[in-house]
Amino acid sequence: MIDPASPYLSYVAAAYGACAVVLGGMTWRAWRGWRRVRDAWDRVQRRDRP
Amino acid sequence: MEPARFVALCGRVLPFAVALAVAMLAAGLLFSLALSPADYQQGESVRIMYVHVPAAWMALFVYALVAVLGGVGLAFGHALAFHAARAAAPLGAAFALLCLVSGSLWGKPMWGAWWVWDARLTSMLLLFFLYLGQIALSGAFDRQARGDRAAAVLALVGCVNLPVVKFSVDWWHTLHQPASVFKFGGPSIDPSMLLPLLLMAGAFKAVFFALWLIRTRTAVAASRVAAARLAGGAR
Amino acid sequence: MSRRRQRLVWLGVGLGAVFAAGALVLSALDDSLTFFYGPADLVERPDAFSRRVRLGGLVEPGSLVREGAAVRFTVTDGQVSLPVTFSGVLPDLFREGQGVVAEGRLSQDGHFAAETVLAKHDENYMPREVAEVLKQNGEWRAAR
Repeated sequence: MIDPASPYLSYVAAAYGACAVVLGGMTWRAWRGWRRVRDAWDRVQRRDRP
Repeated sequence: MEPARFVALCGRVLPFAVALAVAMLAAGLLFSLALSPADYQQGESVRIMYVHVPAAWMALFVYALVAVLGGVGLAFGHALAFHAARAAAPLGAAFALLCLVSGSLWGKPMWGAWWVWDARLTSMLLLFFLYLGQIALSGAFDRQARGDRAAAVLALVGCVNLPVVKFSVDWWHTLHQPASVFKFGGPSIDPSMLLPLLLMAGAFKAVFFALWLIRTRTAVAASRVAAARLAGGAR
Repeated sequence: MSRRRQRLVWLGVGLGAVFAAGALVLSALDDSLTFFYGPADLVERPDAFSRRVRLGGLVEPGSLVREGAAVRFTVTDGQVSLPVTFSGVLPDLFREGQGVVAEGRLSQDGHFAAETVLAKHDENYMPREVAEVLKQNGEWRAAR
């Protein structure tokens, strides 16, 4: 278990925080991209296969 | 593969990919923050390794993947290869950035410097810039096909840097320490620390795969939508 | 030859040429790509005394002396040892028997005045208990 009294705690927290920001940001952007194209894609699909 | 089938296939695989990524990440974080010991020299700061090293591996792996996809696209003209390459590159760039940032946060308390210009750090920074150039180039042309080709050429040329990043610590004197896991004679890292490292590496790979699926699906669907719009406008 | 085959061959040739060029550039730059010199390499360099250089090696066990804010220690590669002086904050990982990289100037009498000192750590990771067991069993390989 990580020792909360460690002098390196702020560095560890910052590194895992950066990890959360990067992974979270990537996920948010990927999902936003799909959401933007989904409706138009569904319309094209309905027209292709009525 | 035709777009409709590919998008449908992605939709079926995605829930499993997401579930795997979440489970791996939970296990990885549990072991790297709670169930692993502090290092005999570095104390608790060793936990930064469980973010830093997997991010570095992913940055290298994704670059190689983008280059291979670009090569396949150039040689065989597969549109899907270019879609997949375009979807992967920003993810690789994000991993490279995470590697640089977490490495800096590790270097300050251990080495006594946020940054030094040794061969390992410099070649890793070059890899990040290659990603940025690759992404910029793929969006720099009016016709996406041209951008894809230019970006693929840069990705292939930039492959020269991959062995330099990996072996820089063996070829030259660097401040960065040599490899601990992939080296002759087996890992020089205690099993209680190797386990969280490998779990986090698996978690990063699973997260990448899930996001890559989403982004490739988006690229395929968007290009089909754009083609339909063009055809509709011509009518 | 089909167009596809032709393109594949050109890709292969181009990639080979790029890798060859990269290897040539790196071997030409070899000297400037090294971050530090060991004591034995440093004293044999003709420009060792005329510019700022980085000296890397192990802090010789038992050599560390503190004199107020200043410290003295010896950096060794096993054959040649150089005395180093430094005043300032040493990094946490600075220890006798561990790797260190000092940046500064070497004087003609072989004394190195460091302006910055960075700690270099090795590729071994283990919990404290494991390290103690290894030391007790005499399986500890110092100065790796």
